Amino acid sequence: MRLSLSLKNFIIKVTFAVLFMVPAAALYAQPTLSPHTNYITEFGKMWTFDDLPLDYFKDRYDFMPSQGWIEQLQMSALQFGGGCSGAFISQDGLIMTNHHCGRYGLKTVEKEGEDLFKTGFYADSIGAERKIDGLYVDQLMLINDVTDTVIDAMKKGETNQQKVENRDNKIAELEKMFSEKTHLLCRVVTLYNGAKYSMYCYKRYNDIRVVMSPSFQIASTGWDWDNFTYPRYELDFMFLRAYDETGKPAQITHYFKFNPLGAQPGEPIFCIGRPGDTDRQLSVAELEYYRDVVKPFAFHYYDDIYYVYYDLYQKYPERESTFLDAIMSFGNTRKVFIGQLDGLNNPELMDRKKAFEAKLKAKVQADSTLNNKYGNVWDALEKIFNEKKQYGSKKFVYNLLGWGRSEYLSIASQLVEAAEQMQLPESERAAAYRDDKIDSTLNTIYPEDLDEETNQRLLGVFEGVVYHEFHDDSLLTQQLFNNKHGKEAVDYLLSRSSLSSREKFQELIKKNPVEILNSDDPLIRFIVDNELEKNRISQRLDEIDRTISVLNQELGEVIYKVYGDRIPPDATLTLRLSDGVIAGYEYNGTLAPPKTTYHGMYDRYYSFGEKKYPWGLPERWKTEPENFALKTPLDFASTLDIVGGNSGSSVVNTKGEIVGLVFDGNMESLHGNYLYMPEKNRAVAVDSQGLIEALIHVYKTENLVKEILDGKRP
Amino acid sequence: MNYFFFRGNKLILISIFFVLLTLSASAQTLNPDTVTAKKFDTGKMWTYDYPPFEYWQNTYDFKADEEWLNHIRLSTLRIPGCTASFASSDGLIITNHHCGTWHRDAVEKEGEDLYNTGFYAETPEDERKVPNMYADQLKLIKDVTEDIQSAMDTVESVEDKIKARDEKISELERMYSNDTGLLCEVKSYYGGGKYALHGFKRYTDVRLVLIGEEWVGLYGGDPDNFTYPRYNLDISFFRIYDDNGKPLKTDEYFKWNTSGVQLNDLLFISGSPGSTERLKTADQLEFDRDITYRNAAFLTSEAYKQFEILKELLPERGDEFAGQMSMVGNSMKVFTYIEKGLNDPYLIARKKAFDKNLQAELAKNEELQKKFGNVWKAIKENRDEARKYAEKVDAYRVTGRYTSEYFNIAGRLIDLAEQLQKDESAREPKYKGDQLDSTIASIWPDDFDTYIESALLNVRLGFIKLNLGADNQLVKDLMDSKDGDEAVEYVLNKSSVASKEDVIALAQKGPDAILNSDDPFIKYILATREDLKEFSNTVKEISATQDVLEQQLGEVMFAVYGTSIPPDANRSMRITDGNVRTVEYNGTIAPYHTTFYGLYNRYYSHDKKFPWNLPDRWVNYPDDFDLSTPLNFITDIDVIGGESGSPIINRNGEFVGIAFDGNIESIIGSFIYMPETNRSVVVAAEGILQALQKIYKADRIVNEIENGKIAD
Repeated sequence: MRLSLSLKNFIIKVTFAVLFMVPAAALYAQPTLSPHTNYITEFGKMWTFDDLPLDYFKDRYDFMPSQGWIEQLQMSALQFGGGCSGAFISQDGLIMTNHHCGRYGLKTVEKEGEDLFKTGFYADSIGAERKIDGLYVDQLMLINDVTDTVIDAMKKGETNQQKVENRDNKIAELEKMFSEKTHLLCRVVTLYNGAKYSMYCYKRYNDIRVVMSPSFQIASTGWDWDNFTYPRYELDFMFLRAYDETGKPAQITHYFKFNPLGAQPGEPIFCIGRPGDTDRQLSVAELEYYRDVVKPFAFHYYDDIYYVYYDLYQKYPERESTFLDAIMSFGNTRKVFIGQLDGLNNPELMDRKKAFEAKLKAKVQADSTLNNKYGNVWDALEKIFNEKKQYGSKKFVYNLLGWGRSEYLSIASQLVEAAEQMQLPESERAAAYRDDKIDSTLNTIYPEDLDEETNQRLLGVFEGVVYHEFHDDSLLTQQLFNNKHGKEAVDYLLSRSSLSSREKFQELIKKNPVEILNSDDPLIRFIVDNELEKNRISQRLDEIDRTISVLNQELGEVIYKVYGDRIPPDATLTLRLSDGVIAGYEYNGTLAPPKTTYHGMYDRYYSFGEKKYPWGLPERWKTEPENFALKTPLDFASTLDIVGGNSGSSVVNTKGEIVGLVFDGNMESLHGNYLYMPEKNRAVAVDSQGLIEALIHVYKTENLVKEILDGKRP
Repeated sequence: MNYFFFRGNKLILISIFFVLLTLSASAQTLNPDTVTAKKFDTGKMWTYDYPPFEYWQNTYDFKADEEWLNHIRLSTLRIPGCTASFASSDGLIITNHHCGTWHRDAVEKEGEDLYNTGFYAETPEDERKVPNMYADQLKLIKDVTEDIQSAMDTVESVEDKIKARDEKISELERMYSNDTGLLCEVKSYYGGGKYALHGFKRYTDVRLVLIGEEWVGLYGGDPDNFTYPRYNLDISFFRIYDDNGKPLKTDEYFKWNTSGVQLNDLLFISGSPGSTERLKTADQLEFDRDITYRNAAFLTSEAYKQFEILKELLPERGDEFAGQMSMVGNSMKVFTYIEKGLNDPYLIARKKAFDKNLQAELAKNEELQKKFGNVWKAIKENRDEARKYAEKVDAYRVTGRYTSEYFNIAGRLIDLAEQLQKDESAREPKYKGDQLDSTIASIWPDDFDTYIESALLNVRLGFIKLNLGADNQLVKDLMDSKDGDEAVEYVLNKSSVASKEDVIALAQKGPDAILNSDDPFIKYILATREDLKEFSNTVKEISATQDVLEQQLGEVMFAVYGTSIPPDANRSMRITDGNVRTVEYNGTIAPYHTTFYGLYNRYYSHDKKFPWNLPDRWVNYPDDFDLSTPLNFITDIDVIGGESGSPIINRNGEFVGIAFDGNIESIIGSFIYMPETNRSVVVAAEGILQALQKIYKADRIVNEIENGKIAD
C-alpha cells in the first residue's frame, strides 16, 4: 500500500535534463557509524545507503567497508526503468541487467522480419546498438534526511485528511526545491511507514541502447513453471549502454569490475538494487486481513486467468507470441500470491509476528509517554480491519474487475461511461467526447479484432468471482447468468447481450444515451443498477484507507522510536544494499546445492523429453557447445534479502567485483514479504562464471567479453 | 520473478487495486465434514490371489490373463528384505544395490575394498556364492480362510481365538510343506478377513555377479533418500545356481525393453511390500500419531541430531558418526513424515470419511450390522484403554534401541545386588565363586564411549520427559525436569555409576548399598520396574483384543468391498498398476525421468562433496557415454518398504526398470495412497545397460540381458 504512495512519485513521467553533475563525494550522506547492536534479523537486511550497519558487517563477516567502497557501490548500481535494477559495468556506460527487465524494450527495437526473442541480439559495434525509446536508468547521487520538515508540516493538520494533504504538499515542495538546487531528479522516500522521510536525488540517463541479449528461452528456462524456484538453470541477462546528450557512450566514473571466477559458498557477498515492497512492519491485524481476505482472492482470480491462457497455449502452440506475455505475467502473479499466502498460513511465521507485536506493545505500555501516544494503535488497527473485511471484494466486482479482465467487461464499462458523457452538454464532457473526437472515441470502444474464445473464457473467470461474492439465487447472479454456471452461464449472458458481436454493438451505440443506459443488456444493467451501491462502498473504503494510512504511520513511528535503525525500513522501490552468502538449503526432503551447473540445464531439457515448452533449448544450445565446460556454475542460491524490484541487481564481493546477477527468489523467498527467515529464503542469481562462459563459448561476443573483463571498450 | 519494468508496472497496478478496490475471499479453513474419501485411498497393492482383471480392462483397456499374470509372478523373486527378478533364462537376477550390500560384504576377500571399488565377476567362475542368501519363487496360492476362521469360531475368549488361529496356521503350513515340498506360509489379508497359503520354491545357491561402488549405488546418501528428482544407479546382479552347481535354467524371466518409458505409460510392479496400515480406523491412526509415531519420530530425529553434533565436535570420527546418521536417517524420515501426515487434519478427515462410508454400507445389511456394527466403537475403546498405558510403558522401558548404556549399567548393578542377596547356591552361575569378580568388572563395558552414551542419554531423558511430562514426580527425581545438556549434566553429576571406578566401588559396597543408592539411574529403574512389568502385560492383552477386532473389521471390509480394495501390505507378493507421471514439487514440476546429466549436475553443484561424490571412473567417463540416457524415472505406482528391487514391467510383461525408492510424499502411503503426489522411483533399464556397457564394461552381462541367455 505504501508502495503505491511512494510510487506515485516515480511513475510521473518527468523529463529531467541533468545540467551538470554534482561532485559525488560532496553530496554523499555520511553513513551513521554509531554502534548497531541487536539487529532484529527477521526484519531482513535491506539496508539504506545512509544507514549501513557497519559494525554488524564487521561482526558477521569480519569486513569493514570503507567510505570509498560504499560510494562505489551506491553509484555503480542503477535503478533500471520503472521497476528493475541494474549496474554500470564499464567506463563506457555498459549496463548489465536481466533479460526479463529489458525484454519489452527489446521487442520495440525489432526490425521487420526479426524475432529477437528467438534469435537474441548482439551489436558488435557501437553503431549497431539500438535505442529503446522511453527507457531510462537512474543513478543515486544524494540522500538527505527531511523527516523533521515533513512531520512538522503534517502535525499542523487537524483531521486525517488534512494531515495527509499537508504531508503530500510538503513533499512536493521539497522535491521541487531540491531538484532546482542540485539539478538532479529528487524524490522523497517514505521510510518506516512514514517515521522517516529521505530525499533521494538521481542522475537520470535517458538514452539507453541494447547491446546484447540472449534468446527468451535460455533467459527463461522453465518459463512460468520454474519461476520462483530453485535449483534453477537460467541465463537471465541483458547488456545495454547509456549514452550522453551528445549521442556518445556515457563516460562513467563509478562502475563494477567483473570477476569471471564468481564467489565461493560462505564468502560475504552483497547485492545492490531496489526492492519494491515488503510488509514486514505491518500489524498482525493487517496481515490477517491479507491472509483471510486479499491474498486468497487474488490468488484464485489470477490463477483462473492464468489457466485460461495456459489452456489456450496448449491448444494453439503456434500462437506462442500471443500468449507468452500473459502466461508469464499471470503465471508470475499467481505464484507471488500463493507464495505470500503460504507464508501467511505458516503458523511459525504468524506466531513470530504475534510475538514481535506483543513484545513491542509491552515496551510501549511500559513507557507512559509512548503509551499515551501510541498505546491504542493496535486496537484501532484491529477495529478498522474488522470493518474493512466486511466490504469484501464486492466493489471489485461492481467495477467489473481489473487487470486481466475480459474485453467484454471493458467494453461494457466504456459504453456506460460514453453514454453518461453523451448525456452531458458538450461543454461539460471529457475531451474525448467533444467535437470531432466523438466518432473516433465511440468507434474504438469495440475492438475490430476481438478474440472471442479468449475473452469468453475470461468472462468465465468473472462468473466465478461473481458467484463467490454474491452466491446463487441473488438478484445479481440471476440477472447476469440466470443461475447457470460455467460455460453455460457465459453463453447465457452473451446470448442476451449486445456486446457479443461488434455488429450488434455498433447498432446499440447508434441509439441515444438514455436508450443505451436503459437497455436490457445484462452487463449495462449490472453497471447502471449497482452504481449507487458501488459509490457508497468506495466512499467508505476511501475513509477507511485514510485512517489506516495514519495509523500505520503511527505504528511506523513507534517501531522506529523503540528499535531505531536496528531494523531496516520496509522496501520502497529505492536503492538498498543487502548482505549474505551463497548457501544451499533444505528442500524437497533433501538439500538444494549452493550452485547449479550447465549439466543441470541439459538434464532438465532431456528429462522432459526434449520438448519445446517450457524446458526447451534454443538451436545454438541443442548440441553441447565446443570447449564448453558443462560443470561451470550457472546459477546460485544466496541468503541475500531480496524482493520484486531487485531483478537485475548486481551481486558483488568484498572487493566490489561482480560475482553474480540476481534474477529471482525461491518460493520461500515470497514469505519474506512478511518476515525474513534465513533458513530457506534464497535469492537466485546467474553466476558470473557461467555468464562469461556462455558469452565466450556460445555467443562468441568477443568485443563485449573484452569490455566486460577490461571495464572499457576495446 | 518478473514483476519489474513493464511487468513491474503490472504488479504495481495490482497493488493499486488493493488500495482502491477491496478484494475479499473467505478464509481457507478446513471443514472436515466436506472431506470425502477417494476410491484408491487404500491403494492398489493387489494380491496375486485376487487379480483385478476387470478393473484393468475398464481403466486401461488392458486385457491381462492368467498366463500373463503367472509369468510376472514366477519371474519375480522374494529375497531377504527385498525383491528381485529374473533377467535371463540362465538364472541371472537383478535387485537393488542397497539390497545387495550385505551380501557383497559377506563375499569380500582379504585385501579387497568392494565398498569403494564395487565388484564384477569377469567370468562365470568369478561369481561368488553368498552364504545364507536365498531367493523365493511363489509357486502355490491357496485360500485357507474357511479352515482358520472356523477353527477360531469354535472357541470364545480372545486368548483362545488367537491360540486356535496360530495353531491352525502352523498345522496348515506344515501339512502343505510336506505335501508340496515348497516353503509354505499362511498370509492373513484384511486383518484376518481372509487367509491365503503361499508356497515358495526356495533357491539357496545365489552368487554375486556385479555390484557398483557404494556411493554410486546410494548416490546422494541419506539426504537424497526418499526424494525425487534422483540420480541413483541402485542395482546389483546375482545369479541363481541349481542343485548341481550350474546356472539355473528358467523359462520364467523378464525380457528387457530399453526403448524408454513415455509419459502416461501403463506399468506394473511385482514385489513384496512390507507393511501398511491403510485399513486401520481413524481412531487407531490417531493413537499411532499421538504415541507410536510421535515417539519413534522423537527418538530417531533426536538421535540423528546428537550424531550430527558429535560429527561437528569430533571431526576425526566424522565417518563413524556419518554412518550412524545414515543408519538412523532412513527411519527418521519415515517416522517424521508419517507423523506429519497424520497431523494433517485433511488426511485424518479423509480417513474418517472412509470409516463412515464403510459404516454406511454395513448398515444396509441388517445381519452384518448386528454382528459387526459395534466394531468401530470397540476399537476406539480399545485404543483409549491403550492410551492409559502406552506412554508409561515407553518411558519406563529403558532398554533397547537408542537407550543409553548408563541405564544398562544401572540395570546390571541391580541384577548383581539381587543375586548377591540370595544364597550363593541359588544364584546364577556368573554370580558365583570365581566368576563373580569378572562379572562385576564387566558391568562397565570395555568399549564404553562417553561421547556416544552422553548423547544417547540426552535423547533418552528427553524421551522420558516427553512421555511422562515435566510435572511427573519421576521426571523431577530423575532430571529435575531439566532439558537437553542441562539434564544430562544434572543426572551425571548426581550419578554413582558415571565411571568405571564408581561402579566397582558401589558394587563392592554390597547389595543394600546398591539398592538404596541415590544414583538416579538405579532409583528410576527400581521405581518403575514393577509398573513396567504389569503395564506391559496389560498392553499385550489390549493388543490381542485389537487383533481380534481388526479381524472383525477385515471381515466387514471383505463383506462390503470384496477384493475391490486390496488388503494392507504384509510382505506377501503383490502386483500394482500405475502410470509414468510427473509430479508437482518445489513450486514447479519434477520431470518423469532424470538423466546422467543430472547426476553430474548434482556432483558439481555440491562441489563433489560427500554424499554426492563420484568414483574416478565415473568422473572420467568415456566419450561415447551418452549423458542424455534416462537414469531414474517415476510412476504413480503405489509402493512401500520391502518392494526395493521389484521389477517394473510394461503391458507386454517386459522389464523397463527396477524400483528402489519413493519420493518424500510417498511416505504417508503408509496409511493413505495419494496418487497426485505419491511417486515410486525407478532405475531405468536403458540407464542400467548404458552404465554396464560404458562404465563397468560388463559386456558379458549386457549380452546376456539382451539375448535373454548366456552367449554360447
